[in-house]
Amino acid sequence: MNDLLQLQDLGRYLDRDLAEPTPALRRQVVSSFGRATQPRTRTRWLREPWRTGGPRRRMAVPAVALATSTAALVAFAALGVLGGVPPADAQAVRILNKAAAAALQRPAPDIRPSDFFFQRELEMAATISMRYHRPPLVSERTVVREEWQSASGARKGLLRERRYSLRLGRPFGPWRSTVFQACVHGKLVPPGNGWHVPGGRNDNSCSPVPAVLLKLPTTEPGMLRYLYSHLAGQNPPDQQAFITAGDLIRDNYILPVSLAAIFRAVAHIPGVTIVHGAVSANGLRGVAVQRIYKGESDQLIFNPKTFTFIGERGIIVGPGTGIKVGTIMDLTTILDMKIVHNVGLTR
Amino acid sequence: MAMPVSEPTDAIASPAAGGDDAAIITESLADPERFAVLYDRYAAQLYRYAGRRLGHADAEDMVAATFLAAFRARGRFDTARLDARPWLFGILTKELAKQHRKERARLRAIARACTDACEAGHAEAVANDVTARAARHQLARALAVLAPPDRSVLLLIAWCDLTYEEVAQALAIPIGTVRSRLNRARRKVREALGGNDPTKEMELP
Repeated sequence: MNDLLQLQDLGRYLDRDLAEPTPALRRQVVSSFGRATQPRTRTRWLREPWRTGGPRRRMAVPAVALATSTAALVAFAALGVLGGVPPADAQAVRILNKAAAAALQRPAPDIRPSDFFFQRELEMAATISMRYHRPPLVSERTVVREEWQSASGARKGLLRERRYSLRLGRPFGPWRSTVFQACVHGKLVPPGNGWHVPGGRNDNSCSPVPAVLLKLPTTEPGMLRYLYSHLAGQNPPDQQAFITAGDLIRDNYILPVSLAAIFRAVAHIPGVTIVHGAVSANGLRGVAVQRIYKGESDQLIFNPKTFTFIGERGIIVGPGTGIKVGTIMDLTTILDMKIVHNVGLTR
Repeated sequence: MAMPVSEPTDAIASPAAGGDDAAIITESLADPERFAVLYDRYAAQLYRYAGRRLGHADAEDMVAATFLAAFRARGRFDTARLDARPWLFGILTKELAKQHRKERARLRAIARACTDACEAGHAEAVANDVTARAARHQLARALAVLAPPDRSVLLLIAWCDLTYEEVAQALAIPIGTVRSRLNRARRKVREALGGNDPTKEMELP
């Protein structure tokens, strides 16, 4: 018997006291995947590859011609009311209306298909380590991210990020970069596996995903209908509509008139309430509107003076998640966003 | 080239039973619950390996941490590789590496326990069994003093039936490093066993 066979004998000896993994372990582990099936944002899980080294994907938003009628607005708002959820509170509606007015003040640049949507943001994300018989371990990681996305989806883009110390208020460590493949005539350029590329598929084919959304609804009822008809995640409709609004705002360049329509539409989603004193990742205190689902509050944060959108926050506010109340799950602050002519340019 | 180990491992579900691992992982990006298929395929193997190295009490924590880490890193999985087993064992190895002090203490305890059992059972045990127990004691003591990276390579091959290529993939190291770590670990283990096979005499007629 050689040493490897003796090791195997030792292994079998050590197996004596070992049972099979318990059904409770399976329930715990698999339910943690289940929690991810209720993503706060669709891009939350689409972003996961980037956080772990792969590129981030945006939500594909086809242009849809939508009927705009007040009847539709009432019908969608009623979805939540019928479920016993109160309508958005009056304070939240006031904030959202002011945000809509601020959005209309935003300049609307002349955008060419060859341009890029540049965005710099600070993102803090919590990592949850599940532990059996013990509470989950929560650790935080903050990065500053710069992203150049092709306005038309037909040019190569770039995403780079660097660790950031919230305590010191400055970045550290090297940049990590990922190039977004372009989608030219339905093929990825450069060619490759495209499952993690916006609009890309495994067979090297793709559909261009523009970062600049020119054909979104521009009216309040139209946008509300849009939000409820693009429920990408697996959350209940009202929650997912709120989430979809956050995704649209954070990941795309949206014309001022459509951005204003989004804020006004959110005011019609039942269960939306105001949060005072929400703090963005760079320490800016803001005012937020939130929707709470399964013990976690999703918040859209606005500058309390100008009412411009400054970021998002996810925070544990109740039981049911197994995570301590007050834990910040993620925090995104938009530091800069503009249209530029080329990758690497920031103005 | 795989070592000619004969220990049976848990059957790996065939790709036909729900798709290959790469397809499951890709699908789980859109449908996270699909990742449970990988749990059902590999949890028992990972649990057994973790249990051997750290004991039953910690094995479940290790398996939970491995699947959670894998789930969060699934976007980074190279879908050109159809089999996720080496990837999962690589993640588990990283989790185990955080517990190397505990593992070393466990191996020393096993060495001591085996010594006691060997002595206590000497009267009634057959000679073969006593010799095997003595070998376990020496092995546990040898494993305790191995460098953790060498120990991981050795045990992934001896206990998990991974090939050299799979170990290289799991630990993200060159295959030449796998060979050198394995050779070093086996040499030390053989030295601990007395430079020869302690059961050899018992196998003689």
